[in-house]
Amino acid sequence: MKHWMNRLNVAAWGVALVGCATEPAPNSPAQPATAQSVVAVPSVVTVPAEPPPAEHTGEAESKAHDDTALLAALPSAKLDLARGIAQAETQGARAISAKFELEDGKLSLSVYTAKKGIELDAEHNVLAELSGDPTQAAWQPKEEVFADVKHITRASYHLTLVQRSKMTLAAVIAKALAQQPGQVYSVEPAIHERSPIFHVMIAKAGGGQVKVDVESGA
Amino acid sequence: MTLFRMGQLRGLMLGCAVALLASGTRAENSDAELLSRLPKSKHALQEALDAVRTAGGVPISAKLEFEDGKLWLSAYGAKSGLDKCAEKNELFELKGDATVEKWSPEREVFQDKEHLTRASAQLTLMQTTQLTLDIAVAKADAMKKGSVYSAIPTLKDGKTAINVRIRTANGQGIAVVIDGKAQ
Repeated sequence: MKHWMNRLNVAAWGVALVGCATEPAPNSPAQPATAQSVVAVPSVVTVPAEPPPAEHTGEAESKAHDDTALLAALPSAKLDLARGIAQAETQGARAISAKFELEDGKLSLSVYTAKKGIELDAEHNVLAELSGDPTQAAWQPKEEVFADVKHITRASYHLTLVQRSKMTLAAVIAKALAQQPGQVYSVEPAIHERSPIFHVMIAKAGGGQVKVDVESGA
Repeated sequence: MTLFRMGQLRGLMLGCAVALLASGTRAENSDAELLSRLPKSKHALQEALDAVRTAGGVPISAKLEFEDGKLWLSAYGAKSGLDKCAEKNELFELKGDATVEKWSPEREVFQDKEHLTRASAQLTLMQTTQLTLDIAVAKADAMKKGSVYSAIPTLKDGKTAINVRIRTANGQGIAVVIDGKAQ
């Protein structure tokens, strides 16, 4: 089992993992079709039979159709995801997911945080988002403390999975990049076969993107 | 005790990480009124778990609680089951007077922060274990320490577990933590 817990899976869009959000269309231009992205998938599906896996948020998946434009905008970012996460993790806050995204056509860096750290559960924490323009010399995000159903439930899910895992987002990114060099543009916790994992989206140097699933070790 | 029964007990101990917590904590002090009222309940926790399923959902926690001068039986549920994350689910509570002959719970879909965060975390925890609340309650019942009045998923040492609370025959509250890997 240990080897299973430690491995990295590089998975294609729409293969093996069922998302909580809408899957991209089969012919989506954002859909990578590399041989590499299929290699590790069999090891995902050959895990001994269990009850149906819980779905994960897969927000990255729901945004897949936007990724072509997003990938084109990424080089204009002045900081990478890991630096944004480090900047967000001040005064006891812990990042629970992070991503670059296009907001009204403009590149934005968004980091969800648990402001009281990950020792406190969602109910007793303050769940917030730091988001701002990453193309400026200094990233100066605005903070929004979540008050709406969609973001409260999403952030509670992210926090609970980070609490369940044994890895920081920084460590997840480092592990994913060791497997697949490139620019990480999204990292978010999810569930696969009853275990916490992290979906990491990486823009490849030669173009296109790949999703790397990092198992949390939990 | 027969060998068979000793084996059963050993199996139970292996399957569960059991933590019997002595009374006297702040939580238990606040439980004092609840513990004194529990014998008035005409309904067991299992009834609330079954009601959530009858309503088409999957139970993610259940408890008897004392609130506004009344004893209530309550269960939280996820309408779309464990296959949908909190954001894509509908999180609700069935809650009704536990002291009347027929339990007639009202259904509330959560919209407020306190209940959404709590129910979202509970759903996520239940999604990361194969243990069900029914099994956890059954395991706690099998210990014959008293009557179960609460079953709530929790994190213990970074793992999913279910915290089951029991009222003993002498009216004390104890907690039994059922390991999420127990089946």
